Amino acid sequence: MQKRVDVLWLIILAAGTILAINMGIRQTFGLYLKPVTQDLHVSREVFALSIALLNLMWGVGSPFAGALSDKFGALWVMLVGAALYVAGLVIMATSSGESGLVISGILIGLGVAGSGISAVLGVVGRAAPPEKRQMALSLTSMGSAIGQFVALPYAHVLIDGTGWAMSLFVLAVTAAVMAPLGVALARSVPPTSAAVAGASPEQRMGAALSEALRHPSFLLLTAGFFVCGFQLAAIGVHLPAFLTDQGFDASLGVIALTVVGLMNIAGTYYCGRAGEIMPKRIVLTLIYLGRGLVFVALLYVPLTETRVIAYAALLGFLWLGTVPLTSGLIVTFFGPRWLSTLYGIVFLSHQIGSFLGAWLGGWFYDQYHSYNMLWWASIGVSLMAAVLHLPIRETPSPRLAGLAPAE
Amino acid sequence: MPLHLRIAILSGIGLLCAGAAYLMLARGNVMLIDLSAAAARLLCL
Repeated sequence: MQKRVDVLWLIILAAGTILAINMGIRQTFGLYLKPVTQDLHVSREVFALSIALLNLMWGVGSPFAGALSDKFGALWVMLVGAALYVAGLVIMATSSGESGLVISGILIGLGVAGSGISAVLGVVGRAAPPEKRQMALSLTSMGSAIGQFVALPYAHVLIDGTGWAMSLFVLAVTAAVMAPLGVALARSVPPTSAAVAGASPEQRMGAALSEALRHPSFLLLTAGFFVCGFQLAAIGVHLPAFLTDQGFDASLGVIALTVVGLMNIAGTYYCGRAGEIMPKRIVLTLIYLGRGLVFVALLYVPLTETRVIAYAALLGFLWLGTVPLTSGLIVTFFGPRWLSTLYGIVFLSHQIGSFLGAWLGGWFYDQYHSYNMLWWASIGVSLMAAVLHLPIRETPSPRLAGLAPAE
Repeated sequence: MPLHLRIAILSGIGLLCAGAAYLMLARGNVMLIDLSAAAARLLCL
């Protein structure tokens, strides 16, 4: 038992590091817009297309990467994912024009999906014993929060110091580290170990998908995760511009984003662990309602610098805590056997929400010259998320209940 | 996990985050300008 726990710590460390690299590097591409387009003499629309394709491939590729990972084991999915990620970064670094940028966007997007959160959480979910699973998912997700926080400033220094092309090579070498970590991770947990955790190993993927898509609570969870993506994109993309519109110095936007990033690290862990002491659907409801309260405050409470930082702290704390709770609920419903596949489906809903949150924010601003409608929409989807999560039945599916409890 | 290993890992993560926070506060304005140029055109979430 002791040995199993020790191995679990190493698995969490490897998984968290993979997620930190995977999500961290992806976070930095906005910094490359100006230097790349200026050096290569390509339009910003081409670079935008490349990044849009990256996000599209990431969202669409995640369910497939999760399915392949669950069916054939995470080893090859992670290796191919890391290889595509590295190839995309190298192609971008050596690109001389439009086609290179577009190809790199596609490859990096597929790489992010393959070596990303769907596959990694599936491995961790299968490796952890039921009593440690929520803690393991929370700590692993925290790796993602750390990566997102630290990658941006270090990449900025790197671009300044070495130029954009060399910095991409450095990022490629960093991304390559995911390969040995992925091998260690995948080999530590055979996919059939789900049997140990009480799932049904003989259930086929088609049956698992059919079961999930007919499971009302899974559908509610999927719809709820859309709200998470919507709100994070609304804040991440539009908050700095909103603050400068309100007359604040740009440095307050920087401080706010720093506070969001730091509080996100703690919040991911503690919100995830809160799912151990109260129903996960209730924690998720409180997270979405908490975000809604911040949006109400943005609309109705006069903004001061102190309040902006307080709101940023609250939003940061509620930022990524949804990930371990959502993945934990999937395990509760169906066991860990097809976690990667099912999380990939839920995550696709998150990405559609992200797209709409970012796009609608810009559209509302163009229409009304104000972000108020975006904040109202964010309040509306908060209430929608609460309504969606409260009826979730936090119990194993009838099939799983007939075999053994998942947790 | 042994205590000394746990302390080493947490210290490493702490230093990494402290460095990132310092860089954000020292260079954040320039970074934000670079990012806002991108965010206006990209859905770089």
